Amino acid sequence: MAGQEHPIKILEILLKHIIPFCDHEHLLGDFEEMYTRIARDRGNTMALFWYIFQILKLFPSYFKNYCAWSLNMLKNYMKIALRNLKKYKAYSLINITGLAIGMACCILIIQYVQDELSYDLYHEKADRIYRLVDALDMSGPTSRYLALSSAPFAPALKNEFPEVEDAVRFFLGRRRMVTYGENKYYEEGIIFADASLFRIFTFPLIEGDPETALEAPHTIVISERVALKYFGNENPMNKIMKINNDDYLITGILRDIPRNSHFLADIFASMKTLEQIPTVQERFFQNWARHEFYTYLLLKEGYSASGLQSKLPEFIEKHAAQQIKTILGSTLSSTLQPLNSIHLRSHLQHEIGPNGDIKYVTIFSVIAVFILLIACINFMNLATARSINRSKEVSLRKVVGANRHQIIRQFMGESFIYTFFALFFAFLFVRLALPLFNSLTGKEIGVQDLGNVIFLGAVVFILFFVGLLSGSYPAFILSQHQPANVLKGTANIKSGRSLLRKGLVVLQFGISIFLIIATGTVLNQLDFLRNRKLGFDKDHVVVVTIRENAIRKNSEAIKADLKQNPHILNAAITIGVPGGVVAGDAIQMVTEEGKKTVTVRMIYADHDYIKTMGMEIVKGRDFSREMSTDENEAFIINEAAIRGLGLENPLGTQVEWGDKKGTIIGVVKDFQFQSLKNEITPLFIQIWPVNTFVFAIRISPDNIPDTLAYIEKKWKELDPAHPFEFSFMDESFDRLYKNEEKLGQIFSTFSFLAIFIACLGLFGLALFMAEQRTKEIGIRKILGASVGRIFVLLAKEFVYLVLIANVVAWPLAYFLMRGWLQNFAYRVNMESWIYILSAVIAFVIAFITISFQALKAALADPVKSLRYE
Amino acid sequence: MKNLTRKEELIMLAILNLKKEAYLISIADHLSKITGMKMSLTSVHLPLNRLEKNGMISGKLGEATAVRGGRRKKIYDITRAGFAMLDEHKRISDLLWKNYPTFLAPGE
Repeated sequence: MAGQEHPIKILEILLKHIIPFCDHEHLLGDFEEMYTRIARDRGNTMALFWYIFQILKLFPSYFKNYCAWSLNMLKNYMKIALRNLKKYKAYSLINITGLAIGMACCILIIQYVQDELSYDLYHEKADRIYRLVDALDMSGPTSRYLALSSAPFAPALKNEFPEVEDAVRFFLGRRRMVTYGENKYYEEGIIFADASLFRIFTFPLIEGDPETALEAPHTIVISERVALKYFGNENPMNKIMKINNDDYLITGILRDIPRNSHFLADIFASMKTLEQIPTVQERFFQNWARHEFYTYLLLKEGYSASGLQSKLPEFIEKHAAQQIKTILGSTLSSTLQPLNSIHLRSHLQHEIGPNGDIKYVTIFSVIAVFILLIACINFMNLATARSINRSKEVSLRKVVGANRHQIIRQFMGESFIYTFFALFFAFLFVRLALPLFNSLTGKEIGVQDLGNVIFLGAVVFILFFVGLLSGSYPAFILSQHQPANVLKGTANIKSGRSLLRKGLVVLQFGISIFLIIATGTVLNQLDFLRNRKLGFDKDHVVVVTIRENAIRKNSEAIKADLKQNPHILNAAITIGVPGGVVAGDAIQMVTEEGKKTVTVRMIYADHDYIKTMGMEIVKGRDFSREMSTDENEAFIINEAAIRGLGLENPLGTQVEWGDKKGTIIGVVKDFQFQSLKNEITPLFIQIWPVNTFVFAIRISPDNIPDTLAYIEKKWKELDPAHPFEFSFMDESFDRLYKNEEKLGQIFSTFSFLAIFIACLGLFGLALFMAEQRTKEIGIRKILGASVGRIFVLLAKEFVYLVLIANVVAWPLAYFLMRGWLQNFAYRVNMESWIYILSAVIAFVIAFITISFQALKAALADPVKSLRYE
Repeated sequence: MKNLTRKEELIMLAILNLKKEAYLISIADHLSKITGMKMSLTSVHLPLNRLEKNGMISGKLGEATAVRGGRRKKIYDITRAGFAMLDEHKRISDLLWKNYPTFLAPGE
């Protein structure tokens, strides 16, 4: 029994807290002794009951003694807090506005972060789903990292490895015309998928059998959205829909895929549709080197991805390596990528859709904390600065028996009251700012999203964080007052710790300046990206997608026809314009040492491509119709290819690409065919009209609407079956920087908010200082000080602080922004004018803020200020 | 303090009897034994506290013992005022008890 004869620790602690006397010790000892005795005489259970009974007996008196009194005091605290809030309206307004804006930012950003982190989590088996991604030539100038894999992987992996429970392949149908009866639209989200799709991903079917829906060729499952769009009230099940020119049977209706998915699809068509076409079967489904498929694997429970990962090299060696070596001339290594990490952490070539970036999630979160911090500092500064006003109250409370804990509790409580008010306004702001925020981040967060548990938990956390952080320091300072001195009037009260307050102001402005510099750098880099010499003329090129084979075949005649219009300067057909699609393939170069296989980027086009794009030939010549061999035997390379492939004298070099043998006839000046984030890599341009997808038409800058109308009219004649659609090349090129543009806007918005809140605080402090020094200023004026001198006296202190803040913020901003710029292959230098400008902005704003108060104080009539009491 | 209640008187006398060993539990035990009635800790603790507040007895913390989880006892002692009060009580009681016949068995 020994060792058990002590009361349970938790109960003891409880007892200790509710015994209503200060001297717990001997009473607790007595209780324990009795417990031991009862335990010995009548057993532990009885002792335990006795002990609990004793505690219960104590409760009534505990409530009477403690809570009732606390409640009374609480009422008093509330009253005082609200009185203060009303009495010092300016301070309260500054505090609450600042906190509310800070909290609103935080709330919005929590929403954003929560949304970003929720991607793909709705799949029930999300933690077991992996995507197979490929890297070609892991190192070296020709290495490529693809989100894609080839078709034979999925079935082979499933057959060979017991840990692979299931596998599914996606093939993107891209943009196709979908027809049902009279309804005819282009649809973006068409994906060909294996029947195993519904066994792996959680896409509930409203109608249809998920097991068999995509088994047969030419079957499709459509989303509710599409069903509504094409069928209205009709039941689409077992109806026939046309995609391009093929008929498909609808075998299922899918609930719309949630927005927080790394891929979106409206129509899933069966993979069998493609597999049964003999040529496709051979070209795609038996070829380990065609990277055209997204492969997702579902691992069996209890198996780790790393286990499978380690077996992949052997698998690749066995099945794929040989074919890839011969066809692509490169080595392959595959990686398993967890589904959950795709949206934020995967930035491979040919991603299935635009992904987010964990970096932006981090940046957002940090900014949210920064802004909240600035608002909290406002509160702390103003509260400590005003502590002198409250010192008499605190002292009196102490005289009538309040202890320090109670004072601390009172002021913490006050900060919570402010925080509550602020939270209320914060929600109001969030409600108002939601549309703006959604357009800024491209999300669709609604008011209804503000109701979920995690989010409310986060809000409660913010409430406590802000309440405690902003309340703790003032409470600590205020509770320190020595009542005897204060009430006698001999106390030499400094209002709080002014050094610390200054430090906090420096911190606030440091953060603000940092955000201004960040904004400046981001905008500067964006500007640079937009205006950099791209190597081609991106303006005034109309891009129309080719949807009829006849157009491809008759392109020469169509071009001639188009050029009848004097505003149409040139036209070409190509696989894609810069910023759009660029192919990649292996070619063989015939050198003295023999044949060398390399993988390069490739553009298929026609004779007029280089002229239409406004590119510049630096060596050799452009494609020419006079040279009949150009059509089948000529390649033009870019300058990067000379460097990357080590071709000292490129002209005339023999090149083999599949069956095609040819020579390099020219070198085009490097042009940016991808985002400026990527460096320009070796590129081959050749004439191959069969594999072109867009018509690029250069028009003159005059009278664009008429020219467009002309093109549309011509196009309708050529292709009456499809609605006419076009885009401008510069638009699609600018879209590559959408992320950065968003970042720029976000930085500008938040740095504005940050500096606004910081200025609110500064304004409050200046107001307070001027008030405190009313008498001093009065006396100075009587003794002959000029308005200017007094102004300088008041303003100088804050101006110093802002200057110091610059010194703190600069190095930090320098290192962080340099890190960000490293993301870009082509980037601006960190320019000093941004730093100076940010300093000037912060300085001017702070100065204006202060001057208002300083001037008011300096101009005040000394007679009035000295009659103060 | 004007007067002692019966319970207070008993407690003070118990403290005298217990000499240096008088603390809450021992007092309650002692009284239980002598009176033959169960004395709860609470019923002793409250008058004890009152007596201490009125200066009849003084408590001070004694040595720690293992059985009490290392906590010290509060040992009570009668103060000078306490003795005076007891004397006064005894005087009055003796006066009043003087003529009481010791054995007055009914029916004898």
